[in-house]
Amino acid sequence: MNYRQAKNGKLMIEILPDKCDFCGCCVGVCPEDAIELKEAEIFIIDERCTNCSKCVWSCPIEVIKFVIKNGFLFEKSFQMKKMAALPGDPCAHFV
Amino acid sequence: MKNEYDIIVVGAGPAGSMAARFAAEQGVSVLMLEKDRDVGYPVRCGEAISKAGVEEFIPSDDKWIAAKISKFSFNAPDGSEAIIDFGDAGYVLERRIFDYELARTAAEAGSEIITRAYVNGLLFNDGKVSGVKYELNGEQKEVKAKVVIAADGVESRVGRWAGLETHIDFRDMESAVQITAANIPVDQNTLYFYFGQDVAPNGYFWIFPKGHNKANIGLGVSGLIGKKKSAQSFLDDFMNKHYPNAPVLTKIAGGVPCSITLDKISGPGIMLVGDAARQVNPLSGGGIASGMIGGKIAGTIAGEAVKQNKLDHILTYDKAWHDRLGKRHETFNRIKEGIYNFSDDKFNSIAHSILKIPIEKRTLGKVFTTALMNNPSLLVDIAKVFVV
Repeated sequence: MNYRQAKNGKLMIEILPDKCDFCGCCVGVCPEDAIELKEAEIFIIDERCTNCSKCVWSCPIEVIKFVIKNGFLFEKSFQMKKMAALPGDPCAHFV
Repeated sequence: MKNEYDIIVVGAGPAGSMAARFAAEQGVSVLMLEKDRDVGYPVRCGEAISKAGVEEFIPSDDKWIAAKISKFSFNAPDGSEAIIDFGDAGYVLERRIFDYELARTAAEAGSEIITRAYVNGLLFNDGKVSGVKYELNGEQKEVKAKVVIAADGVESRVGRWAGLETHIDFRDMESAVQITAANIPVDQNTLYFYFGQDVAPNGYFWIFPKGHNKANIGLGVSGLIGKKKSAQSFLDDFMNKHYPNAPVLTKIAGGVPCSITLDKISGPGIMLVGDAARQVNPLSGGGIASGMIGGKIAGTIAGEAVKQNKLDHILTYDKAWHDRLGKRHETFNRIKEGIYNFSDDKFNSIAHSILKIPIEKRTLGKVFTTALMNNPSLLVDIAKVFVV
């Protein structure tokens, strides 16, 4: 598994830019200034993200998610929870 | 365009435009930078505002009024609807035109405006903010200023770069989603509010008419609720139930910072206005009028500071804002925290008691006292709200 690196561990949060509306909720609640938002461009600044999940909870349209790989949901504190059978390939969206 | 200005405003929403205008009116040089390609678009707003809130800044004009509002309809979870007639109360705006017009007034006062200019850093001199770094047409540029006014919205980062604490608690962030739909046959002069666990727990759901049976339909929920169910799913549920085939003209997401104003909204060379300063009315989530007021105060003070060559004068902005609206927002925030805990039963019983008053006698005061008399436990809630 080849994850990107966050400040204190592996980056466990992903933004799906194709579905994003660039509204800025996540930027407003991010305590680490770890999200870059231009007119229609958004990304997480890996080395600042601490996987605190506040952006995930605040996203009105569910485009920020916990990383799902190989049927496992990675939540903060890096616990893994087995997902119920997922339709299609759960990895498709992720780098 | 010059490489140095007296004042730079970051963001051309209502707060930014008013800051630019009231600064430029004093004869100082002003540049306003907007990150998007258009001023006023995309519109991330329910667009309702009181008439008084608008007319402090610009005379009413039909070209940006989508609907004139005289009545409020409060809908309890059990379906009871209490209508209150406020007379000539306000408008639902056409923000994409309204914001344009506000920016025009800033331009007429003398400010320069550039769109697609993405501010991505600040310049510092001797610990003071002394300008901004920005990207324009793929090129990285810099421009100096004596004062930078950050009007960069809910997603503001300029304040943090200047060393102010600006990030908002996710519980206070109302994550919102809204569609503008056609063929919604509601009264075109009424704002509709819906409360309850099913439609918008810890927030409210709205239908604001926009003329010709178009309407803004949306809701905001706190990040605490968003943890379990997103604003989007609440909206989908409501639309499937009430307007399953409504044609959707626009769909937009947004965040409303429903909290008290930031502890500090000015610092050496920097001022924050509008959503960036968290100047939203925390009870209603309305931020157009309060943002314009914040912009006016900040722009005026910044202009004076430059003219008198006393840049420390900008630090008086915190108190000036606090006296005009900041303190009132603290009260609204306590009321909000009380209402957030209301059960569906409580909303129902308040609606029932309002319904007992004949509609022509439903003034706000009368509604309030009647609600209190019929729901004595409300007194306890209100007392809780005001006891710090």
